[in-house]
Amino acid sequence: MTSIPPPSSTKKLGLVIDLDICVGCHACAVNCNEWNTGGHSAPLTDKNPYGKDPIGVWFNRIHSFEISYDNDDNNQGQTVHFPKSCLHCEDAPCVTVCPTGASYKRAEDGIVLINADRCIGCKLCSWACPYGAREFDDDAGVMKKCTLCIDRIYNENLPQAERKPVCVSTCPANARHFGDLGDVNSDISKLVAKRDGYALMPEQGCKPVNRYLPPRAMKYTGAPKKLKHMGGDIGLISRMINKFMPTSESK
Amino acid sequence: MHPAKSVIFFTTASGAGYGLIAIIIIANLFGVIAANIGFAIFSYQLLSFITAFGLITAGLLSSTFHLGQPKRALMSFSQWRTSWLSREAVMAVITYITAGVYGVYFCFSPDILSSKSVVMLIAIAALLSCVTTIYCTSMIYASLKPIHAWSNKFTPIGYLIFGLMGGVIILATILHIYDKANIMLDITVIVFSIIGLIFKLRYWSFIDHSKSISTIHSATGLGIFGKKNKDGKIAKVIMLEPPHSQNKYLLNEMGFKIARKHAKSLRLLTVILTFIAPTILFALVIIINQNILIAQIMTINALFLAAIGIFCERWLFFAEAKHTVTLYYGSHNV
Repeated sequence: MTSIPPPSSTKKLGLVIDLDICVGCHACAVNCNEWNTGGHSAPLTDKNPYGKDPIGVWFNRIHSFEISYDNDDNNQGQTVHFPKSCLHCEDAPCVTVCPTGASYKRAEDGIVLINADRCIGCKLCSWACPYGAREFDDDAGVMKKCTLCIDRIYNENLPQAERKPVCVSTCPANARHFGDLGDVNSDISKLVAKRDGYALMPEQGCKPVNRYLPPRAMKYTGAPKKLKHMGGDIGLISRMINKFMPTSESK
Repeated sequence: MHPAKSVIFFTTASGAGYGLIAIIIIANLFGVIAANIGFAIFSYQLLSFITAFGLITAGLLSSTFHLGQPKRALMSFSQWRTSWLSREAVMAVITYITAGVYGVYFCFSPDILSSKSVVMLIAIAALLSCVTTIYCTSMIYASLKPIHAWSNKFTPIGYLIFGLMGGVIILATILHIYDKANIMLDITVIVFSIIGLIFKLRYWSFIDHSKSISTIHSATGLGIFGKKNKDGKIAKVIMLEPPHSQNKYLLNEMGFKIARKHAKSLRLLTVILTFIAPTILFALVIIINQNILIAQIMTINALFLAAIGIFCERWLFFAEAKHTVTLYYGSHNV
């Protein structure tokens, strides 16, 4: 049923992503694809992988943004790497628009999943998601999305330490955290409270579960912007060119 | 948004089909046209109903071409509690029944449908189900909050206006072909064309002058925290690097960009073909009001031009709509 079920527990499993730490290495995206092409929604389409225009389904993507301040005398922009996957919304619009009941939200832990056997591939859920969390698999003719590694987090064949989403366990910088955001006393809820974690596009009204931790403002280190020429013999002609030719480099 | 041909054809064709049935019922209720009595294969009543059902069925079939798994299409009747797409599917079936029964009355007037109050009841049921189905189709789009150009009151009103407009042009043309022209219907075509034009211009002005509440700032949360710019405003955020070097589903489907380059000329084409051409041609038909053949040629041309025009209109409806996901791919507003 594609109504949002009344939660059977307070559990809201989700991710917390620390934008202050993420270095944009894409390891989480690569390992996500590696695990999930053999997991719950396997296989993930991977068309023309070595050709000119490879295209395929990925559950996790790392965007990169730059923040700039026009009153910054030191003209320092700040680069922020921004991983994005399904936010497992409490009021998931991708679930309620589904005409067949394929798209559903689990009452017990809030994970949003797709039952591939019921999906007719109408793509409406991907239109309803403001975040672009869903990707259509045109080999299978069905929609696919992040499963929060449901085949890992409850997998008793894995050692306890590995029972978390693969993007979390693979992150070399520890920028991703997994846990119960419905429990205010959980480690990640405390982390969110401490670091002023926020939700993406709250105005869309989907009540996403995942939280992002804001990057701290950069401090000016006092390092010179342009390296000075440290002397040494560069030759007469080079010196003349350096001195008299107009420079195309902006200030 | 990517303008898929199957979905454009579905919304325009089935919209005109439901609009045609609604117009037939209204015209019949007001005594502008009468039901056919007795069995006749070549009556205009039968032709107009076959046209309506043909358009509806072709549209619904076309919409299944958009599906990745069309063989499971029957499952889409199950989620009418929450899904407008499911409601649309359910209403389409209900309308087949109510409009089908009304069609039997309108085309043949069999003895079992001789009671006036029964016919009235069927007519109202069919009219309501036609209008509701168009409304459900429009709400599939109007319920999508991430798409500012759709998620507003213009969407359902527009689908209703254009559905009824298509219906009235088709019915008026069929009546001309049968030399049963009715000046009331000809005038209604002009009225609908003018209403349609005013509506479309207002819609375009709306999407040109308003934006989604979501921005690159709310989408990323960046620039809102930390220090502010000198005017006290939040810091500027730009996309530095996309997450992938090649195209992908999200960009093909939601990041469609061709329209904005051609928007102006396509809007002009829409205005001329959908609204001005039928207005002028039908006005000439009313003014000349002599030669049947000329009237037939003109109305058929008006119908043909309006059909192309409404296709442009719907193409733009999709192609000009921007989705919030593009905020993650370099758009600052949508």
